[in-house]
Amino acid sequence: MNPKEEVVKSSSVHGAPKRTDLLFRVFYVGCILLILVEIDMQVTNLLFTESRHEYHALEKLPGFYSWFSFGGILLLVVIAKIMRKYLMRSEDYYDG
Amino acid sequence: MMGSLPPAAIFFLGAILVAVSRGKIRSGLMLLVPVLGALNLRALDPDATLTLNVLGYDLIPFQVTGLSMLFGYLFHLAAFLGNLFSIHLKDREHAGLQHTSALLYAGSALGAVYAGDLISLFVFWEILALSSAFLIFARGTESSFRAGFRYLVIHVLSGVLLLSGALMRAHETGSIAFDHIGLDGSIASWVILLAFGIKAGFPFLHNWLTDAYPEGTPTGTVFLSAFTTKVAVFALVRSYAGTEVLIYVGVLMTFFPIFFAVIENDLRRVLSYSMINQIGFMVTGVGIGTALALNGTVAHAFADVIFKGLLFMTMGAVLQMTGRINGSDLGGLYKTMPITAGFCIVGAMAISAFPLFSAFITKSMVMAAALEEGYIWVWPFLVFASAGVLEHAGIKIPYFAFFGHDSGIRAQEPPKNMLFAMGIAAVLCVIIGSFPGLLYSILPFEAEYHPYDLTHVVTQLQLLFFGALAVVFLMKKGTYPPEIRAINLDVDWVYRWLSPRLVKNIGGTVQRIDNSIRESALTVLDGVLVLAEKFHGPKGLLARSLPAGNMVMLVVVLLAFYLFRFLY
Repeated sequence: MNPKEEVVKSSSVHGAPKRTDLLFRVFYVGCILLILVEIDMQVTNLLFTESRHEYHALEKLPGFYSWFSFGGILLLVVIAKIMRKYLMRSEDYYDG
Repeated sequence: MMGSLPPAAIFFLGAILVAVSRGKIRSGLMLLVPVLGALNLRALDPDATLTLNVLGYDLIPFQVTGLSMLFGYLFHLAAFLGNLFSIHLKDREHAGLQHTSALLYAGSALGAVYAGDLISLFVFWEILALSSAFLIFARGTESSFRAGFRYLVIHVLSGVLLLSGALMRAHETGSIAFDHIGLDGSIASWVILLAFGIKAGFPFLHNWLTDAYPEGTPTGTVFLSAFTTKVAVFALVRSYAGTEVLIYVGVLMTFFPIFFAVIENDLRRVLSYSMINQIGFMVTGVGIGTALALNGTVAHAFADVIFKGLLFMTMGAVLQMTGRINGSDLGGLYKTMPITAGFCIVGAMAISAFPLFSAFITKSMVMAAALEEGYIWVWPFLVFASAGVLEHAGIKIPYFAFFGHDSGIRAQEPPKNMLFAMGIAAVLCVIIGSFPGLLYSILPFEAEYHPYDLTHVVTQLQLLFFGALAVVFLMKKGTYPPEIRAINLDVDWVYRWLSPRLVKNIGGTVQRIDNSIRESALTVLDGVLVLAEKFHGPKGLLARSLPAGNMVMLVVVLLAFYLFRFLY
């Protein structure tokens, strides 16, 4: 049996209840705030007068941690999905 | 007597008492042994040693060092939490066997971290392997028996390598001290590193972990996650600190398991891959070898035992209450198991290194040390691996078990003792993360590190929020890989699929060759028999009775031949 036909559950979050929607809004606001904090630390210095410590050349790139993490997870998932094509077998593979 | 008792002795004695007792007495003993052990540890003389002379070797089965003390306390804590978590087990779940082997297992882990020489270490190394295997066998299924057996074979191999390496080293240097070894170019130093590497889950040697841990009993795997790999990390810190190759081994360990974790369906196997990833950070720290890096390694080991233990406890509770552990079968459990779900989220935040949670103050030490020592190419990989942790352990585990699509399962919360054990672990995750001074004060090396500065908090939150945003983005788009009832090939394919077939094929070939040799031998034999029949049979040439005249004729011919040779 081809395991790919056995997709048991889609992982979409459509149809989530309203409480979850609120949680997502808080989460998005958090993302925006973190960008603002960084801009303030780097440029405007309105609230955060302490400048950022940077030890690695990459850290000096604007918003490094944000886009590196976002892009990193996308890459991770894309590669993992490709791995499935080659490595996935049915559950009784070793029993046969 | 208190104050000089080897910690392992208390646990071994406790194991015997637990084996012969039942009911409330057994439960009481299980909680009492780690508590008494910890009291003994507090009173332990910092110079206490025990020396034995066996077959001409001076063995030191017990020796106190600062590094041993940290792991000593950690293992007592892990044993207490594990015992509390499993106290409810019934006889049909092989309760006696599980409790006894768990105490033996914890005791041998303690023996290993207080061992003063490599031969003593080997003895505890083997008890560690044997006692822990029973926590897998006790599951009582065909697949757990097979996985447990594979686990045992690999760990006994690790022990044999350790003993061989120790004897080679004794021959070369005259010392069997369990101390700094380092890669000095000798075969012994490589063999011992290989032995440690198997137990630590080095790349390509890691598969016993992801094969066997998901096959353990719901409670047994909590013990498994605490001891074996941490003993290996301890051994690496003691013997291979500053060995540069370990930096790259460690980075590879943080890196490759996160891909497998994304597509793995068995949630305890996801945690097993996650475990290799966490040990990768520790091994990297060992390779860097500075005081800050080594403190980071042992601090992260300390934090990991608790948060990984907590995550394995929550998944153990799910398995115990639902009988299922695959992401494809679970979902929506928060409705009836809200407390367990809450503990799982705490564990997920701790492993993802949220500020105020434990890994935030431990993992960052290794990463800071990597930058301090100028390993600029190593650092981005560690950041990437940190984002990967968030994906599989921070989001996937709680999401697919407790939220996601409703599986319709309405399992109740687990027994109170399980909830208490999870609760204590969850509180510890927050205490360690919020009051870093507590853990830092017992670290064995001198190094200053301040985890809570604004940059660290903001950058870490960015890493976590935008990593999570990527997952949300993929899920909303419907491209996040769904949980599928399937397995993924890993290195174990070599010994579970390829080699049995090779052996079978080689066996078949050998049989064919053997058959053909036998057949040709029979043909030759037949030919000989036909010839014998021809010459010696009733009408055979050599069976005829020849008259004397013929004999004379034959002698004449022979003499003529010799004469001929003689003349020419």
